[in-house]
Amino acid sequence: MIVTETRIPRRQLLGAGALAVAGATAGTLVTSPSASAAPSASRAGGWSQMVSFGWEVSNLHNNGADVSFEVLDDIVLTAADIDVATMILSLPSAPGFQEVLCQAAAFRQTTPTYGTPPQVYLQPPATKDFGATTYDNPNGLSIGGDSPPYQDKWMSIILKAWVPADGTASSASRHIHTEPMLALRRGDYLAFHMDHAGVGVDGEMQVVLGYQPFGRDWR
Amino acid sequence: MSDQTLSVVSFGWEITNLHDNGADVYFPVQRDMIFQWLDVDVATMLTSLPSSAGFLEVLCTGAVGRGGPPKFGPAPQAYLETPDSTNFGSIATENPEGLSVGIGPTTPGQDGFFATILKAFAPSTGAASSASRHVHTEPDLVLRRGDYLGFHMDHAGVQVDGEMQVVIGYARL
Repeated sequence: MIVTETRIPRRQLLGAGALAVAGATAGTLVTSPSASAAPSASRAGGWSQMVSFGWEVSNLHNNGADVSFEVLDDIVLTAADIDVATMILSLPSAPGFQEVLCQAAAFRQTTPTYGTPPQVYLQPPATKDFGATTYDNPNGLSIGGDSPPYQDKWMSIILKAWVPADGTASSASRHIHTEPMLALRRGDYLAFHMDHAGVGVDGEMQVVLGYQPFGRDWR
Repeated sequence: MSDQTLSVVSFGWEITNLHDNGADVYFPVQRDMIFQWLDVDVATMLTSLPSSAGFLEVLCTGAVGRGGPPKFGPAPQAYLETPDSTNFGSIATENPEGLSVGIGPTTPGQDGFFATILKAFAPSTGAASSASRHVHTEPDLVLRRGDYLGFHMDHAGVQVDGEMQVVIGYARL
């Protein structure tokens, strides 16, 4: 179930161990009630813990938005299940493509950094473990891409579809399971992104995270 | 409790006018590592209504270039070329019906770690003409400083936009 986001002051959210939603610059942003399940809320029990949240942007149209929350304890992000889907909400004024880029990244000891509107891409630092990209492009094709790869961006999905005049088969979706095994420290942030081009759509991302606390007695 | 954490990097690239041709992207490995897992998301879409109905297909591959940039085949496809494996022999076909069979490469390519083929039919309305895939694989390949990672897309049929998003999990050595 999706409910309209309530603008709780960020300090209050973090103090309560809940999610801080930040970086929304375009579109109508909503979060799901399960977003209040913060990592620190699940200390009791065994070693593996899980949290879940979802967010939806109901008017993606050549723009983007982000959500983020702080990591409140040292953990290893062991698993993530991400489900993303788009749909048109009304017949298009003209046929055309629609695409939505969905990404997630960790930011180390700082709030997330975003690119400029309208897309507001996640902008983690460039890696030092890999070099800049080079293209072999003997046909002179129109190519765009990232260079060099970004460090700590751990999920990236691209949804694409054609929207015919009658809307047939114009939705796109993906479910992925990944196991980043990424060490996160108290004060790091996790951030999630969606941006869009083409025919206006609704986009939604549902996230389930598996993690293991470390560095203290969790029993 | 996990005693081995990994590092991750990500990049994406997009070709907006794939039309019976192809291109590649590659980058160097700058420290010794174990390339443990890979998530690749690939998708295609029309960017305008087709002049006539037809098929579309996009081949997406990834491979390691050992000690230098990977090799590429001639245009227009510019396939990512891998050296013949010395651990496997050449590929033979049994084709008593004389079917149209294509094989590439003719000997399994060493250090090819990813290959996906997207196919769809684009009707005149464009309905249901997109194709996509998400692949998670765990190569567990040792990479040395000076190796390269290369990725490829090539296409046949109705013109499309193709995009590949890549996330790499690795352990520093």
